[in-house]
Amino acid sequence: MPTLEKESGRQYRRFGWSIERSEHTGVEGLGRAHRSVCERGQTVPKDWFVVRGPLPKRGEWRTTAHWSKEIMGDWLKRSPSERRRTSQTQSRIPQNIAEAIISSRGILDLSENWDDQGSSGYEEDTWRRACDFLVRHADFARESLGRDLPVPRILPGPQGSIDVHWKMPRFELLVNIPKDASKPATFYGDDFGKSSIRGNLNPAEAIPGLIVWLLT
Amino acid sequence: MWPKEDIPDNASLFMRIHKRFILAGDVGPHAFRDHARGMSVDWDKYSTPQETRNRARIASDNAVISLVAGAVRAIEPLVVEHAPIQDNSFEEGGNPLKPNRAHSEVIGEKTTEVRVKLSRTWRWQLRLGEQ
Repeated sequence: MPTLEKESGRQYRRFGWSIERSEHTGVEGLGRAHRSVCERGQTVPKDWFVVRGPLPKRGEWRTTAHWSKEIMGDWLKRSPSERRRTSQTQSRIPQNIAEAIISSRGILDLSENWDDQGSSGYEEDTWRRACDFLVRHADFARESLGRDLPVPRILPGPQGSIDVHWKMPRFELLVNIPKDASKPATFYGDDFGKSSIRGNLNPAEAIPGLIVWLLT
Repeated sequence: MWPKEDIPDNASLFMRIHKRFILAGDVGPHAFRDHARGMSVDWDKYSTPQETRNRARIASDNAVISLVAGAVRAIEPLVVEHAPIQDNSFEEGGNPLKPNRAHSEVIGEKTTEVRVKLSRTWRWQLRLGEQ
């Protein structure tokens, strides 16, 4: 079972099975960018974003797929018309989020050099992880906070990654889901003023702090 | 051979934007990315927006925006460098490159933060289909 660790009076989220503290040194190669900070001088609670300990192994990440299947049924495999017909009745996904996901599937049609400047194409696994990330957060917002998440744009990012981008009148947030599933997603957001957030996150987990930030 | 020159902060840099990067008349942070060494732009001292667009394989698929060199340099850790493409130059794959005295590069990692900030600094020069 996942364990929780107390450190400096604050609880931190950990993945996987209980491991020795000496192994619990963070994700290799992430460096200082692995910490989430707020430019107002406050440290964002680490359990919002930071993966302590190793990222889940590939098999563990597959729980995401089971989870999303539970919510979405197998609608991603259905035809667009079937998805439209069933998305309101059989799924808890907000309709506008489902539409954003469906319309973004065209990203998978982009082949190598699609922009005539050498950009690479996109793998379905990357797109699905981006969709899972979005669905998970939309579901958390609805189930836990009774609110609907603003609808982002799902966009073809650099080097085969997928961008999830909220550009709202009061704030902007960009989350980048990398092609390499073993790497964390990166994010940056601000309110066009002094307040900003940045860091890394595990796209396979709902990040309550990020949702609260999006909704306030 | 064209010399490498210093690009002043008040210079404009023209950048091609493929139509797939344009959504509802907006250019998002996903458009700002590296190609090979950096993000390719053309210095306005040696190029017009039309010339920048016409360097694309399919010019009509592209719009052109401009960035101000000083505004780009204000985003850490970006650096703007003049990098003229000389005669008889080749890309990494061995394909010949067209000479381009205006060619410049925005060097530095395009993190999510950098891309968001770049997406707030541009202006339209040529929209899709505009002459």
